[in-house]
Amino acid sequence: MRQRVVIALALCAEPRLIIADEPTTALDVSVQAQIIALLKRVCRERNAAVILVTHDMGVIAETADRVAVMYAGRLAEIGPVAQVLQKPSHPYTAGLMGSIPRIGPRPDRLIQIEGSMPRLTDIPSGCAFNPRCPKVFANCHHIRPELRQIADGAAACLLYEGVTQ
Amino acid sequence: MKGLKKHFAMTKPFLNRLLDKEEPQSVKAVDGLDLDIPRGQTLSLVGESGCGKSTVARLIMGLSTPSGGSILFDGTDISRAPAGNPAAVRQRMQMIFQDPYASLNPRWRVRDIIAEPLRTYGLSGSREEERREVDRLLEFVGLNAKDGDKFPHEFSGGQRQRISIARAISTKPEFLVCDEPTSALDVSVQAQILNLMREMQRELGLTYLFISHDLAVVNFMSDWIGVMYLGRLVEVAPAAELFSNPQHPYTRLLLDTIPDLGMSKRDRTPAAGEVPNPISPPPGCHFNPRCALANDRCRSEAPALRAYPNGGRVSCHAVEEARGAVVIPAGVGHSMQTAP
Ligand SMILES: Nc1ncnc2c1ncn2[C@@H]1O[C@H](COP(=O)(O)OP(=O)(O)OP(=O)(O)O)[C@@H](O)[C@H]1O
Ligand code: SF4
Ligand code: SF4
Ligand SMILES: [Mg+2]
Repeated sequence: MRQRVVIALALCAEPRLIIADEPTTALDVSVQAQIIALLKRVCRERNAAVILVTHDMGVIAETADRVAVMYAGRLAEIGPVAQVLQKPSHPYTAGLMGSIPRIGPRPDRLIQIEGSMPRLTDIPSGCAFNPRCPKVFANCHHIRPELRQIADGAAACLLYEGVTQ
Repeated sequence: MKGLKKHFAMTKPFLNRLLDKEEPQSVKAVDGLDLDIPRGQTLSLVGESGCGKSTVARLIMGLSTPSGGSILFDGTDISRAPAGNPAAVRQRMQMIFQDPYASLNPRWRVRDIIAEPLRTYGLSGSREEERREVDRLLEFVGLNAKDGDKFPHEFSGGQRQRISIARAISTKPEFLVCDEPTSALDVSVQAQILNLMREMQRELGLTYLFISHDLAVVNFMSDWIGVMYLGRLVEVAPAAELFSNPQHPYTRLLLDTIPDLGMSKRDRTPAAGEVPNPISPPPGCHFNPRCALANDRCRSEAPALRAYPNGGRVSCHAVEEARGAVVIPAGVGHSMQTAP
């Protein structure tokens, strides 16, 4: 319940913005659900904005309005939660969503993104995700993609730049 | 495990001890656990924080001595044997911990960390043989043989967990106890580690006791699932059965609180109630203050774990009496019919 105390403290000052860094990590599901409900209520009743920092996609799905996916220090994709989680545009987002275990029939293998996040001192040239990307092509090695609008969001991936593949 | 128990004595602050003359209190962290793990399969333990999962793991590994009950490993009772003893049995079982940062000695080279269990059990042979074996283990878990000369801080969380796994399988164990092995890792790294663990099970025929509070992870890993609540087992069932047909009201609550990626639960109200204090759990069924089906019997008599025809075991009076919403569907067990 330490988290509740932290949230209560944040509320004393009637904040306009609450930054919650991994507020539910290491909590079990039933307590986690209570914390999420509390954050949402605060957000609604006090009209405060919340930046939620987390790697728990389930929490994002239940809580956030918009989500920004970061890779190696930059935004890979941003948009409404439904769009980013259910129709990811960036190959990194697609890989992340695929690697989450689900309730339901038990597969033999989870989809996995090969390799690991680069050291921040050693980011590949071009698109930082290129050594791990299943859709990588020649340009990815020397052009750094900028965010491009896709529906109500945006993704930083050369697949959407209209560059010849 | 048969009737396995671990009670921790609580030392009260000095002043309190002077003031009240109560009996010394204790936490019943594990309170009479009966559980079998079939060879070559995975049994997972789930339940809220503090329900006793890690205590079970520590008891099995001999890191803690039970207050009662027994632990049989392939017929040998190891419940009173300290960690590492008897060597012939203990080298067949190893543990993987949650925190890949804390569980590796920061001053040792990875090569020595991985070889340590081999040396402890006198299995390492010549220097050259040991080197080859460590190289093989590093490559088996998806690292590079030359990583052996580095120190743990040079690796990411996922790579450190691979090192822990290489170390754990170095003595060619048959049984691995894995306590939240991916809880500190993000989803992409978690997928790599879980895939590795499943592959190892297929290739090496390992048996796992897997502990996690993430039910989707448990779904991917398990053949059997045991649900714990305040030191007791409330339901054990084949994994698919537990998800499709949960019986115990607490199991249902747990399944109900899983965040849904399909965003269907955005407006739900979360289950109320908090985990009661393990020092003074409610009498009768420990779950009764949070249970919609609780009645007088639940508040006085602790339910026993009973076997049902669907292959599972459940400890709940309502399930036994087929009352309320908790019912094993007709066709699975004829004696269990839908209550009006
Ligand atoms: N050495 C100890 N002395 C006293 N109490 C202890 C000790 N170790 C554990 N406990 C208590 O026993 C209970 C079970 O703890 P345990 O660590 O097994 O829970 P857990 O299910 O692994 O929880 P988590 O999900 O948080 O890891 C808790 O109430 C805990 O406070
Ligand atoms: S820019 Fe290229 S490497 Fe980067 S995500 Fe898109 S396709 Fe993959
Ligand atoms: S025994 Fe009673 S209180 Fe306990 S879970 Fe069953 S119905 Fe609920
Ligand atoms: Mg634990």
